[in-house]
Amino acid sequence: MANTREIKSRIKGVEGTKKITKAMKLIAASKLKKAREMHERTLPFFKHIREIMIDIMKCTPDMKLVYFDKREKKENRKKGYIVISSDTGLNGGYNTNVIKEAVKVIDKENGVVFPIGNVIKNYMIKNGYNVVTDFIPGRYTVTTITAADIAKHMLKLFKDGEIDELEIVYTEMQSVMHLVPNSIKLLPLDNKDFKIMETGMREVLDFEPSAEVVFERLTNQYLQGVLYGGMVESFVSEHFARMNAMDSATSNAEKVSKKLTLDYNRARQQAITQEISEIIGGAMNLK
Amino acid sequence: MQKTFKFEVVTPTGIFYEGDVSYIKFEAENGEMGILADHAPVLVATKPCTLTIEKDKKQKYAFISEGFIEVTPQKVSIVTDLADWSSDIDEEAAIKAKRIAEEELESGAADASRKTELKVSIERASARIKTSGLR
Repeated sequence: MANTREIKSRIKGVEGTKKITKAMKLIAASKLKKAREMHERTLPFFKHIREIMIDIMKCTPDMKLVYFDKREKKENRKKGYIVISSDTGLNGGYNTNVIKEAVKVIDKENGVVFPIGNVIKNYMIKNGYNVVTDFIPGRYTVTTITAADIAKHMLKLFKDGEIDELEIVYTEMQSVMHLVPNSIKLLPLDNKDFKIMETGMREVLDFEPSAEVVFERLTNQYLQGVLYGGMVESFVSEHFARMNAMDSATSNAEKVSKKLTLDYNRARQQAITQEISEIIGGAMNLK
Repeated sequence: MQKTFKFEVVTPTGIFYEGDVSYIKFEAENGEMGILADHAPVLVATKPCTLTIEKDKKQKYAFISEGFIEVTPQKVSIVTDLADWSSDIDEEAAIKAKRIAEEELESGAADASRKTELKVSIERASARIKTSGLR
């Protein structure tokens, strides 16, 4: 049995770790709450954009826009992938799951990866994917402004023919316990995406300056909206995963500390018993 | 009593304004445009400009960035990236932003896409400056 001093220092260590994991859990929880609130505030905006796009599609179904061009005949089609992971670890299986999904989805030969988050960036570079890292001007934050920057950049690449397809790999939070990595296609736009909602018919008759101009501008904001949605969802998932991981780490620390305390008491008791028997033994000898 | 219509301004940071108003005025690509109740359905791309909202004979002014205005029989909505009440605008910052953008444009270092970007930001700053004086 270990001596009491050794056990005592271990208990101290475990208690320290517990404090840290507990704090990390609280931080994750508050970040999560903030991100969710922010997301809720932005929802009406992007819902509106989508509705307007659907309206335009209804009024001018035969519109030809570069963003609908599937470029099926083009050789060596380049695919772009935006992959969102976190910057740091300590969040359970969150990053591993994203990496798994990304590896499954990405066409390594013709694909270009736009990684968001250090973990995925390092993984992609290490494994020899084509990686572009400087597509975000400034620091990455989960804001509509960053989303707008990325959207603008991606639309330009698409227009210039640098990429012919764009997908995003992110983590979807289906329910509290269900964080599922998911991938959706962003470009080219699919007419089908804008035809689902037939309810709430609204007749828009005129466009100024023209349906094309309005639609092109909307595409930018639509893409921004989808991107932002993916960013927020990933962010929320990340912190949720971290919260859970830290929660189980905290309860684990508690368990370990309990066991150690028991060991400590036992060792202490043993030491006392030993001492007493030694004293008694000594006293007996004196008689 | 003037006839009113439902009006809202939606931005990515939330619903900026919502209410029944009698008249609004803004700038479209082709010039200034005003909307009264029962306007024909239309979808207009707007420029960065001053938005005038008239309600109960009182006028309020706000800066809006580029976006869209959708007029339907039920509602008039503006969807824009940014919106600020005239009283909340930091005029000095706008003047500074305008000057910096103008300097970069004049220096000729910007390429074509950067130039359009700069022009938009100058437009935006000018609209801000114009709006900030209105009360």
